[in-house]
Amino acid sequence: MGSKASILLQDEEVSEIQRETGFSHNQIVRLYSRFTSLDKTNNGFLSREDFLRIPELAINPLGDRIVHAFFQESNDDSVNFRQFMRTLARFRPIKTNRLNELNSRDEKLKFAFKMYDLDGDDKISREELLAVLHMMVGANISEEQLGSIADRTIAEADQDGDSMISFEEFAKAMERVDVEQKMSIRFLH
Amino acid sequence: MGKYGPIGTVLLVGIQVGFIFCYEMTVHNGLEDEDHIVNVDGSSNESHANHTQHEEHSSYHVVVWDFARVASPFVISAWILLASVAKIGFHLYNKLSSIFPESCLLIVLGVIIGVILYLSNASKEAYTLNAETFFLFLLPPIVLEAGYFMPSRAFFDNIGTILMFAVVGTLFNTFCIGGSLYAFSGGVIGLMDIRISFLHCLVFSSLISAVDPVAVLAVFEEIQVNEVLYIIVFGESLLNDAVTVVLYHMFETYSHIGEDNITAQDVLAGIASFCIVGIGGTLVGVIYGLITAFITRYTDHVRVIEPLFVFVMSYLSYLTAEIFHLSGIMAIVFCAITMKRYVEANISQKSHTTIKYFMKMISSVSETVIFVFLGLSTVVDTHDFNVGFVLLTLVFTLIYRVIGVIIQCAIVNRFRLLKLSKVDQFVMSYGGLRGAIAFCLVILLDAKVIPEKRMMITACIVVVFFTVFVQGITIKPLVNILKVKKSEKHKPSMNEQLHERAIDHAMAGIEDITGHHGHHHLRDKFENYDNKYLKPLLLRERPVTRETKIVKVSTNLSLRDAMDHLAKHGSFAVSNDLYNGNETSLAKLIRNYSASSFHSQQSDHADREGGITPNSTCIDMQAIEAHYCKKIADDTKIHHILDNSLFKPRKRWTKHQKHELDTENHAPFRHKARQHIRHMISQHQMKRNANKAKVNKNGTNGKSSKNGGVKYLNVPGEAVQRKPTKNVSFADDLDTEGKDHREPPVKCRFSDVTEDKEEDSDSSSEAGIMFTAGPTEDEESEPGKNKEKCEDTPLISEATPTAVEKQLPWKRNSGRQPISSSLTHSLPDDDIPRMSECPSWVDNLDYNHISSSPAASLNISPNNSRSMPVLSVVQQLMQPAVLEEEEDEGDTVAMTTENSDKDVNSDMVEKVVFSAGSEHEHEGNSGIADASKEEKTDVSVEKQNEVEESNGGLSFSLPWRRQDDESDQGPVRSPSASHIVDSSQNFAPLPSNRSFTLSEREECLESKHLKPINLQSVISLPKYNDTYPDSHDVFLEQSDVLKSLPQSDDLDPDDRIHKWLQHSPDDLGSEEEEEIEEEMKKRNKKWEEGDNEPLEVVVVPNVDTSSANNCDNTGDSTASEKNCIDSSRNGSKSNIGLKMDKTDPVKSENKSSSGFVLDCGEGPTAIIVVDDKRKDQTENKENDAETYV
Repeated sequence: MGSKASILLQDEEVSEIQRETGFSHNQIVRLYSRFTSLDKTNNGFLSREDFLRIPELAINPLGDRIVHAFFQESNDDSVNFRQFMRTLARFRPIKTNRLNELNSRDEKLKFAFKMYDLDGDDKISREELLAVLHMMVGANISEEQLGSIADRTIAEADQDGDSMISFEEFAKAMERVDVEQKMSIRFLH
Repeated sequence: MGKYGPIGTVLLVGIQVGFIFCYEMTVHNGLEDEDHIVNVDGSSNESHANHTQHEEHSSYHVVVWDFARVASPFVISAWILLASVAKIGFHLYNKLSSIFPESCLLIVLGVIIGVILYLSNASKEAYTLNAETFFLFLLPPIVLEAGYFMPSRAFFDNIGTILMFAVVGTLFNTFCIGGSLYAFSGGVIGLMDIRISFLHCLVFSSLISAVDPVAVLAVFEEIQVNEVLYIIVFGESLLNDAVTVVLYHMFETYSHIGEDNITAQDVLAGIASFCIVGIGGTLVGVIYGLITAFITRYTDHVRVIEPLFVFVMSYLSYLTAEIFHLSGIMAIVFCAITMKRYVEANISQKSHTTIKYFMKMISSVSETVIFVFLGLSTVVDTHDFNVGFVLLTLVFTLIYRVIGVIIQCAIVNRFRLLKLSKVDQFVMSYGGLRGAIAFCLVILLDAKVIPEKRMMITACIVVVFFTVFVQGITIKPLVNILKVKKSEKHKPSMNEQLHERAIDHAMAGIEDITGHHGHHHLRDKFENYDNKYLKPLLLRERPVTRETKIVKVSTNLSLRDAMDHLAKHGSFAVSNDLYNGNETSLAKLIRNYSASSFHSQQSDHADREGGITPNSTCIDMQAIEAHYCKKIADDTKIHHILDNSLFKPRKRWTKHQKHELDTENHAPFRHKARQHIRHMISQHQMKRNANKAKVNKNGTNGKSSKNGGVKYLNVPGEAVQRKPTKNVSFADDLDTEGKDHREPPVKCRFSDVTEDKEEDSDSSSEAGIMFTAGPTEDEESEPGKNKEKCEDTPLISEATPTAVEKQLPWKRNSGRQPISSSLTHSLPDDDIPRMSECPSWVDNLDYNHISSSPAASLNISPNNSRSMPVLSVVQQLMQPAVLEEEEDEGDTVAMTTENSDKDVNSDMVEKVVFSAGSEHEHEGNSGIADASKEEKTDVSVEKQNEVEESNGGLSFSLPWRRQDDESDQGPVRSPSASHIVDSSQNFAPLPSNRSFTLSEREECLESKHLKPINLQSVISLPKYNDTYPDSHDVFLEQSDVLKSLPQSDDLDPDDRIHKWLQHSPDDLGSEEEEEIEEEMKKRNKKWEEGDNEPLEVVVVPNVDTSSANNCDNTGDSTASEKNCIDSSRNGSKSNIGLKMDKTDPVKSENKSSSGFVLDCGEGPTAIIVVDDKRKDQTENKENDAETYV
C-alpha cells in the first residue's frame, strides 16, 4: 500500500459506513483524514501507539481506557477505519427523529461502563473501580480514602448485593444524568 | 400564623407607612432648615419651612429633636425594614405568594405606599428611585450574588448560546424596536401624534430591549426550570448589560452631538466600544477575582475579615468598571466566578457560610427595595401617557422578543448538541422580563436632549409592569402546563459524581482523537493550566488531587451518614474519640466501647452495692451480650464511616521510616495488595458460608446464635443455683469472695504461652504473635534477674478447685477440649461444654490489628519473625509476668485460651492476657481521656527515671511490675496496689467473654466510673484458610505442642501444660538462655545507639488455625462459623485502630514502658497473644492503625 493515495476511501465504503453509523458523507471524509493523519504507518490501521501519540490523550488520566475502548471492536491490536467510525458513532448527538442504535443512550452508557470494566466481565468490581479511581484521582489521596470512595460507589449502585456493579446497575445509578448531552460531541459537518 | 399573617402584615405595613410618612415629612423639612431643634413641649413642631430659626437658644433643652442629623441613614434603614417586613408578610400569607411572584407583590406595595405619600404631598425626590442609588448600591449585590452562585459549569457549557442571545439578541431587539417605533411614530406611518427622531427611538429601544437580570432572577427562582434554560435566559440578562451600556451611552452621546453631526468615526468608535466594554468589563472582573483569591491565600490568621475581601473586591471591580464606563455587571459577575473557584478553597468553612448568607441577604434586600421603589416611582404626576407610543412599545417589545428568540434558536440549534425545543423557545421568549435597569436608565435620560423623556418613562413603566405582572404571574402555570423540564435539585451521588468525571475525561479524550477542539477539549486544557499554574499560585494548600470534587462529595456523603447516625442514635462520642484518637489505646478503646452499653448495668449494680439487694445480682449475660453487640456494631459502623471516609492526609509517619524498611515494597508488607486480596476472599467466603448456612438451617448444627445463647445461659445458671450469684456477677467483693477464685489455671495458661513459643522456636516453623516490651532499662527486669526473681517466687501450690470452679463451664473436667463460647451454640442442649476462657472474638483474624501497630509490623521481617531469640524474649518476658501475677496480682486477669483441638473446631491457639493495670482515675466517665493522659505522663516520667538509673536491661514494665519496682509511687498507684495486696490470691476464672469484664468491674468498684468491658462484641471475622494452604501443617505442629508434653492420659491438656510449665524454667536449655541474653544485649545496644527501631511490639504470626477449614469439612462448626460471620459483618466494619507510635525511641518507650503492649498506663491492659499465621491480616490492619498515628 504505502502511500496515502492508495488507501483512499472508496465510495461504497463511505456509504456503508454512512448507513451503519449515521455520519454524513462530509463527516466521514473529515474523520478519514483525521484517521490517516493519526495513522503514522500508513497501513490503514491504527495501533495503540498511534492513539497515544496524540499529546492530549497521553496526559488524559483515562487515556488508556479510552484507547482501549477503540479496540473492543477488533480482535487484534489494530483498528481499521470502519471500527474507528463505529466507536466514534456512539458520540453522535441523539436526534429524536432518527434513532440509530449506535448512539443510543445505552450505547453511550456502555462506553462509560467499559471505562471501568478492566477485565471485560461486564461487571465493575471494587478492584476495577479502585484502579480507575487511581488513574483519575492520582496518587495523593490515601488508599483508605479511595477505598471508601469505591466502597460507597459500589454500595450506592449495587442492588443485587454482589458487591459488583453490573451494567444495569450502572445505568440505574446514572439515570438522573443527562448522558445524551454529556456524551455527545459535535462532529463538524 | 397564616391566619394572622395578612392582618399582621397590614398592621405592620401600616405602622411602617406611618413612620416613613412622618419621617419623609421631617426629612423634607429638615433638608430645608438644618439644625432644626425642637423643644420638649413641641412648641416648635411646626413643619412650615418659612418659620426660620427660632429665638429660643437661651435655655438648655432637656430633650432635643435632631432628626436631620440621622435623617438619611434612618430613612434608608426604615425602607429596608419596611420592605423586609412586607416580604415576611407575603410569605406568611401563603395563598398570596403562591399565585403572585414576590416581585409583583412588592411593586404593588410600592404603589400603595406611593399613592399614600403622593396624596400627602410628600416630596417626590424623597421616595422615587434614584438612578445613582440604584446603580451604585442596589444593583451590585444582586449581580454579585447571581454571579457567585451561578452554576459556572452550565454557564460555560452554554456560553455560545448565551453570548448569541446577549449580543445578537439585544442588538436585534434594539434596532428592530427602535426602527419600528420610528416608523410608526410618523416616520412612515403616523400612528402617533408626535414625531420622535430616529436616534431618540434608538436610545429608548436600547434600554427597553435588554432583559433584566433582577426581574429574571426573581421569576426564574420561583419557576425552577431546568438548568440549561435558566442559565441561557439568566446568562443573557447578565451579559447583555455590556451591549445595553454601550448602546445606551452611544445613542445618548449621538443625541447630544445631534443627528446631523454624527460622523463615520463616531459610528466606528461605537462599534469598537462594544468589544472594549464587554471584554474590558470581563477583564476587570477576572483580575479583581484573581487578586481576591491571592489575598485570601494569606488570611488564615485573620479569618474574620475573609468575607470582607470577597465583598469589597467584587464591589471594587464593579466600581472600577463603572469608572471607565465598562460593563460593571460583567465585571462583578466574572469577578465572582473567578474568585469563587479559589477563594472557597482558601477560606474557612465559617467564612464560607458567612459569605453565602450575607450575599443572599443583601441581594434579597436589594431586590426587595428595588421592587418597592419601582412601585413607588410610578406614582408621580409627570406621566405622559401617550397611548399609541406606550402600546406600540409594548407590542414591539413582545413581538421582537419572540421573533428574536426563534431566529436565534434556529441558528444556535445548528451548533448545539442539546437542541432548544419549541417549548424552550417559548419559555425563553416569555421569560424576557424587563425591569428596574431599564427604568433607571430611562430616568437618567436628559430631558433637555430628549424631550420625550416623560413619555418614555411611562412607556417603560408599562412595559416593566406588564412583563413583571402578566408574564411573571402566568409563566409558572404555563411552565407547568407545557411540562417544561424542571430542575431537579439533588445532591450528587457518589456514582454520578464519579462517572461524570470519568465521562468528562472520556469526552475530552474522544475530542482529542477526532481532532475536534470542542468545549470538552477547552475545559480539559483549562483544567490542566489551572492545576499547573493558577492553583499553586492562588491556593494556600495545593490540592492533592485534581479530583477534589470526588473527594468532597465522598466526604460530604460520609458526613451526612454520620449526621444521620447521630440523629438516629444520639451520639457517637466513641467514634469521635477514635477518630481524633491520638491516644487511642486498646484499653481505652475497649472501655469506650463497653462504657455506654454497660452503663445501665453498672448503675444497677451500684444500687445494689448501696446495700439494697446485694445478693440478688444475677445478670442475664446473654441479654447483655445481645445488647452491646448491637450497640457496638453501631459504634463500629460509625467509627468506620468516620475513619475511612473523612479526608485524611497521607500517613504522616512515613517520614520517620525513611531509613528503615521499605515497607511498601518489601515482600511481606504489600498492605494494599493484600488488603485487596483479602477483601475479595472474604467476599467469596461470606457467600460460601451464607450458602452453607442455608443448607444447614434445619440441622441441629444450624442453630441460630440465639438458640445458642439460651444454651449458653443455662450453663452459668447451674452455678447460680449452687452458689450465691455473686460469683457470676461482677459485683464480687474480692476480699471476701476471693478464696473461691483461687486460680491455678492462670499460671497454666501463661506457661502454655511460653511453651508454645518454645515449641515454635524449636520447630522454627512459624512464629506466634507476641509482644515484647521495649527494653526499658530496668535493672530489676533484666533477663537474668528476672529469672532469679521468678525462681524466688514461690510457686503456688495447686489448690483444690472449689465447687464454683467445678461448675464453671471452662473448668469442668469433662475430658473434652475447651471450646470457644461461640462454638457452644452448635452443641446440643444437653451437652456441657468445657468452655474456653477466651472470648470468641479472639478467633477473629481481623482484630489482630488491635495488638499490632505500624511499629510492630516494621519489626516483622520474614527473618526475625521466626527467629528464636525473639521468641525466647517473649518467653522470658512471659515467665516473670506469670509468676508475679500469681504472687500478687488480683488486678490482673490473665486469660489464655488454647483451642488446639486436634480434630475439629477452633484449632486456633489464642492467648489473651488481659492485665488490668492499676487504676487511679477519679474523674467522671468523661474524664477518662484526661486521666489517661495524666497517667501517661506520669508513667513516662517514671520511665525516664528508669532509663537514667538503669544501664539497658530489658524491662518488662508491666503495671504489676511497676508496683514492685516503684513501690514509692504513692497515691497514684495506691488503689490498685492495695488491691493487689488484698486480693493476692483472688483470681477467678471467668467465663470466656466475661472474665475481662470482671476485672474491669473490680476496678469499677474502686474508681466508680470505669466501665466494664466486653470484647466479645468488638469482633469476629471469618478466617481465610484459602490464602494459607500450609495452615494445616502448621496446625499439626501446633498440636504437637501438646503431644510433646509429658504424656499422661488422665490429665487434660491444661493440666498437662500446667505441669509442664512448672518445670519449664529448668527445662530451658542453657544454650537458649545464652541466646536470649545475647539477643537482649543486642537489642539494648541498638536501642542505646538510638536505632530507631522500637522494640515495643513484636507481632509474630504463628499458626493458622483456620476453623474455616473445618467448616468445610464438618458441619459441626457451621453454626459457629455463621455466627462468627454474622458478627463479623458488624465487626469487620469497625477498624478499631490502635495508636501505636512508630516514631522516636523516647516516644515509643513511653508506650512500651507504660504497658506490656499497649499503653496500659491508663488502666486495664490487654495483651492479646494470637498465635496464628495471620501476619497478612495483621499487616493489613496496620493500614488502619496507621491512620491514628
